[in-house]
Amino acid sequence: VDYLEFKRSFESGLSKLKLPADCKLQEAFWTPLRVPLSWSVEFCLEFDDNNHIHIWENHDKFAGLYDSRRIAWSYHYGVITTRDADNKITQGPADGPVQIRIDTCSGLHLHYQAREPHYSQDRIIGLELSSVDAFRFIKAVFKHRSKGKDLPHALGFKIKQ
Amino acid sequence: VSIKYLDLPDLDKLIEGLEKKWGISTMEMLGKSSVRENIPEVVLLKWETYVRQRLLLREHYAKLRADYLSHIPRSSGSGNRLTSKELSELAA
Repeated sequence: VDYLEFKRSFESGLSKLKLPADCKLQEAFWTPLRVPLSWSVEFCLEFDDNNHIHIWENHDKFAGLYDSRRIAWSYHYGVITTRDADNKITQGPADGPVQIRIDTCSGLHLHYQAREPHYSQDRIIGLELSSVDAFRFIKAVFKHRSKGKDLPHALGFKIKQ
Repeated sequence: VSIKYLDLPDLDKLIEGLEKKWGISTMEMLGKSSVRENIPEVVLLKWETYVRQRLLLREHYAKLRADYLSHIPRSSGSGNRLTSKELSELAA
């Protein structure tokens, strides 16, 4: 999968998402390298109740192979804290509110309802964190919002106490 | 959908922008956990990605250059050598 093929498939996935009535998709922003060895995509889904999903992920093309791999990612759901002059959602502070986030910063982990603790895979039961892609994350949040399921239930995990 | 293609100068600019915004060097961002705590994780991820992408591109261009140079035949004669006068001018 090269950049163009990946982009086509990702955008097709985005266009097939059944957005709830209270949800707006902000334009996806792609940043490929001029030599397409690596690329990132970022977008937000905004809800009328001031919550949002923020997706960012980066992929590399395997050298010499027709394949790519997801290198780094952050899938976040929580309250919107900051906007720019055009009313677009902007990055909030490090200690901003979070309902759930799966990201690879300093190793793959999950946040649930708070910035701390960082739950690494060995604290999570029932879900392989690396198996969660952007679309699975988004659909789980939709399910949580529409059916009132709590997020662990919607994503299918429990946290080891 | 919007797209921005990034090349080495763009990555340099993005990295410099982050260093300026957060008041730390890239080395500090990579190594100091105390400063990393103040920066949103997605920003750290993007920053680390720019650094990695810059390295990828540099390696790619270096390989391209080496490949190109390897196809230029070496001159066996003295036609390409600088004369002593030219060498003195260059030194000056």
